[in-house]
Amino acid sequence: MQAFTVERRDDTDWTVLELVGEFDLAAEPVLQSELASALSSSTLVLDLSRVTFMDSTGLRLLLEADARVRGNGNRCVIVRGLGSVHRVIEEGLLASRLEVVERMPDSP
Amino acid sequence: MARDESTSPVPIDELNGGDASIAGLDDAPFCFGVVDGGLRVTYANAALRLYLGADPTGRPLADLDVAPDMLDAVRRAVGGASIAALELRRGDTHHLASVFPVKDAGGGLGGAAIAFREVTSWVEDRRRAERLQTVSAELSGAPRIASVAEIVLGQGREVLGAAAGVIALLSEEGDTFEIAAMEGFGERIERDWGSFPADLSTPMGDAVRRREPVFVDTPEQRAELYPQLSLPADTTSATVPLIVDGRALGALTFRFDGAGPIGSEVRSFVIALGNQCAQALDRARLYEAENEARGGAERLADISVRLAAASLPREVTDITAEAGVRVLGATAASVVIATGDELEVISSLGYAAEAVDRWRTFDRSHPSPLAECIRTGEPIFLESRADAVARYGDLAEAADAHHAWAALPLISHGRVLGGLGLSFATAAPLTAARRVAITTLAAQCAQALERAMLSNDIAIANQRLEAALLAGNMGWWEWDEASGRVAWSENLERIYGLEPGTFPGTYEAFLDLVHPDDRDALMAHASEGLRGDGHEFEHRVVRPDGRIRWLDGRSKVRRLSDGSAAGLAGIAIDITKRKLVELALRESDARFRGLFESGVLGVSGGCALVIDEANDALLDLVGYSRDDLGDRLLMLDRLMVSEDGSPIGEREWQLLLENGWLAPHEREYRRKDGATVTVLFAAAMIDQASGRWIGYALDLTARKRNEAALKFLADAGDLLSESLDYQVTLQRLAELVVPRLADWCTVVVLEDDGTMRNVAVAHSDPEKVALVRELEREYPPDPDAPSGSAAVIRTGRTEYLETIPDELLVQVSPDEKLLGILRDLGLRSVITAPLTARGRTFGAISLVIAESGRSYSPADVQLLKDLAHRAALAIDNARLFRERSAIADTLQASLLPPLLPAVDGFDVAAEYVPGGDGVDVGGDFYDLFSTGDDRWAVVIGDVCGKGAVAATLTGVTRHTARAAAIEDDDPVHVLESVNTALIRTETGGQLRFCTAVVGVLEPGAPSVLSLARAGHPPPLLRRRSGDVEEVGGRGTLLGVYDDPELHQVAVELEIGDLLVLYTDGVTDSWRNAGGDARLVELLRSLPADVPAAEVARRIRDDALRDRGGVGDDMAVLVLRAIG
Repeated sequence: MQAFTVERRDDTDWTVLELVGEFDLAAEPVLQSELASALSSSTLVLDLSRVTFMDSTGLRLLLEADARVRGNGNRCVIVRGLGSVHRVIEEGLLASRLEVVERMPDSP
Repeated sequence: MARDESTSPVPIDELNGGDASIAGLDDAPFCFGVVDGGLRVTYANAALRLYLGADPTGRPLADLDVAPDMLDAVRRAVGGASIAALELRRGDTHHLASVFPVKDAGGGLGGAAIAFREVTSWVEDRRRAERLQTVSAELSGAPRIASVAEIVLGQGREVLGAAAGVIALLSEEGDTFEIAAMEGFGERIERDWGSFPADLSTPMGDAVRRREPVFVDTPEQRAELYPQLSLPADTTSATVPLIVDGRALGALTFRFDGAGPIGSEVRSFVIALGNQCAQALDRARLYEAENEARGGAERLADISVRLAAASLPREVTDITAEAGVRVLGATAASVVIATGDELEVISSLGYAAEAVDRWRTFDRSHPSPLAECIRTGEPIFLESRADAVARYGDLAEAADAHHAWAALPLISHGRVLGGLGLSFATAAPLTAARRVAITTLAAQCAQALERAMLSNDIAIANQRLEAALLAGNMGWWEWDEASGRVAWSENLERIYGLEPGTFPGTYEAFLDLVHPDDRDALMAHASEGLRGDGHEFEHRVVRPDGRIRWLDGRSKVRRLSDGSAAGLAGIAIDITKRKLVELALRESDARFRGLFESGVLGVSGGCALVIDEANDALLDLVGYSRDDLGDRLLMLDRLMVSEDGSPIGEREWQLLLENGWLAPHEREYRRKDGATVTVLFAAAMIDQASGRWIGYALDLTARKRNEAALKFLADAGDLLSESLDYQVTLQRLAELVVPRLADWCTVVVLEDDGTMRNVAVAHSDPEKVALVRELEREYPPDPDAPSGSAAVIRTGRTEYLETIPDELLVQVSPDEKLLGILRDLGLRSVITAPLTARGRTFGAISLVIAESGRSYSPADVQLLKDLAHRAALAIDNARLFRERSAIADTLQASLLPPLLPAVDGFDVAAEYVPGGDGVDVGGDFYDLFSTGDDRWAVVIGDVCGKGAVAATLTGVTRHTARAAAIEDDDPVHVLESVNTALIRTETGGQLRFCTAVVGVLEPGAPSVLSLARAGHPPPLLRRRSGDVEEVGGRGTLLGVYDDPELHQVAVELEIGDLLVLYTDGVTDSWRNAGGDARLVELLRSLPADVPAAEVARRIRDDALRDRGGVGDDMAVLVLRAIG
């Protein structure tokens, strides 16, 4: 089992949090602590392309993150994950409600 | 209405001259007169003369009693105008007049002719007709039965001058009239006449039966037809049936004061009013029913959300009582909870203060509807006062403002929790729709109440557990290895010096708090414990303020249902105090040696083996007198014994002689009376040649005993915290006590039924234990015994007998046989201490000395009290642990259907595996229930939220789905209702959502399943052929967006087809082993005709095998069409 980690890249325009590994309940404390300091960024990119698994708790954390970022008046972009990870978002018909992009954009 | 026309005047001579016969006017049936140009009457016919009461001929018109309008008209006629259809009113009478000019002989204008007649009844008729039009317009705008009735009765009284009016409606069964509105009958009649049987001989009954109006024109007629009606003598009545499209709705009656037949105009008006009333009532009834259905359902959905979110029993009952009044239209409502035989009114609304006071509590056997429905478990509906009085007599008589009652038991999981009582002051409240709503409310209340009672219990259990742990300086923890999560009780946080709620909850955070020197050893112990059966380890922690505490941690492995280890759960005890005592002991030992070396204590002097000098302290210590000393009875040989009792004085003397001194050492002295005392002894040779020496001895008995007691209590504390099974704990405790502190040890506990049970007996001789067990069977313990364990349990006070007198044995022995046995046992000294925790004494522990021959001292009493206190706390903790986990299990169970119902043509089965959080309740649920007419709703879902909120949301979701599906079983509607309910549920800002599938099944050939899906994994349909397909289109998950996009699809199920609904806990178990595809493959590979239960079990087992560590909840629901 691959432990969940977050790789962070700060740019002048945006902050990218690249989520790596299994995105489930165990990810909560890790993501929360990273998120806390990234909330002020005008654009936050949550990159799911290296997430190997996401369950409903992962989805809750994602929706919570999106709500918090947007709640601060900022933009939250989600880079779609692979197969089963993206399916969790597709099944809930969330692709149209969240800002989901195919791949990591070059700039905001 | 007057018409002015210019016509050629009639020649006056044709009319004038008194020759009335010319015109044939004198006998005309109307009044006729002629005036001349000076408005003087020149002719009046008979009718006019009669009308005026005199002959007006020759008098000026202005002198007569003529209406100003008439005078004016005549003036104009004299001037040449013709005026027809002039309406005139004189008092209550109405006239219609025509006035036209007449010529004089010369052909000029000579005057005017007047003709008029009384048209009072005609005008009244017309007025009524106009009024009916107005009424009709008013009625069409009246939305409610009550407003229709008010308009109709008001018009009847105003237009017809009726003294009283009543409208009664037939009940649905058509056998009862319910009064809808009543005016003018007087208070008494209006109160007593709520309803009456349709077959009673009344004008209303006859009107409806014959479908025609009934007019009672005279008192005689009434006395003959309706002898039982007691109405004032001079009254008449008109009754019409209220009929629409051939359906009789009820009847309308007006009563008139004064004798005499009812005029035909009145009759026709009443009939017309009755027709309009019937139409309007029918409309109002439909409107009300629709409104009630729509409004009622909406509000019931609100109520169900509020009920599901209520966390205290009191909130649930308050909401229910409020719903009974505000939503179901009851005048008053009350909710009682049954506790044993007592029924307690928890919430009530709408009752008078005296009634509330009077009915705070009452007995289950009380002859009231509420008590009866709780006794029988069956709802009671009382349609009318007559019904209520017949069944409950005075009770119903007393409730004079109410006409109907409903009493429903609150039943959940087969248990009657209490009852819901509703009283109605409105007529005919218990319609079929209302009954369904009442029953639904009671069912929802019961479910919510059960959950709230359990939540309440679990909260109390948690508080008690925390309090107990606090008292024992303990805390509990749980560690889930896979996620690295560590849960702590608040008290553990306090022990670690943290503010409650601040422990971060990870294994790493925990290790940070452990003393660096103990960290590696602790980790090694924990991982070894995980492979084995648990661990035990004493270690130090460093509090944030730098202080060090010693903890004793012990755990048991927590296992998944497949037996693999998921983590550890255990307790930690703060043993810092004990450690400090140990350190203090070592220190005091050193100090004592110093004291001894200063030569303060017992001194003896002697020559070789004989002691010839001794101070008082030494003599006291060994129990010899000064005379004995003189007689040279004190010999080293006699005093000094080894542990096995053999004399060693000679050996000691040789050592002393050889070395010249003996270093301080512990030694047993045998006293003159045979008892032994422990002393610290040291000696030195004074004169080698004569063999003279001097020795020092210090009594160590007291210190020894303290040391033993401390060691013992430490041992006992360890032992007590080892097992959560109190019987095992007590037996081990008894064995620890014997033989160190007692020859016998027995522990008696008080059972729930008040009997006492001997749960532990220890004696070094197993035969004696068997003897006690046998005696206990023959002589069961008497809970009322004046002394011994029973008395200690009753009083909670310790009993201590330094010596047991023979009289006591005689007193407690009912016969010679037992007395003989007790005497043979040689019981000498006894202490019995109570086992008391949280103020309740639930047992007693007894220590007895027999053959070893010593007696207990007050110090022993203190020791046993201390021991009993610790044992009681440990037992109580164990019990609370058990209670807490049992409650959690029950709470979870209450969120799932207890048993799947039998569905014709289907084989159904479900499996549910809770997630790893132990006492927390998971978010997966499923449900299968009838929505009526052989249609079934099947629901599965997964609520995502945390802790207690998840439990609330699961309750909201499941209950809302039920309420919504019963209201309208369209799957999209059900999901939308759940979405709304979830959005409305307060979660304290926490994000939550739910994924769900709702299907509606219509069994048949083929069966049809309509289904909608909201963010949930698609159900799988395995055809008999082995093909597996996903069912249902995508839909927005619920609880986040207020405009979910949901679609419904329908599939046909043929015999042998298998529908599998599941939650992602199942497929997530295979996250590294195929995921969703794994389930498809499993279903494809199933042979045909595997029973649903077997399919569900296989899926569960397969998932459990692959789920590593602690998993999510999983739920599987399988339906197999079997035709």
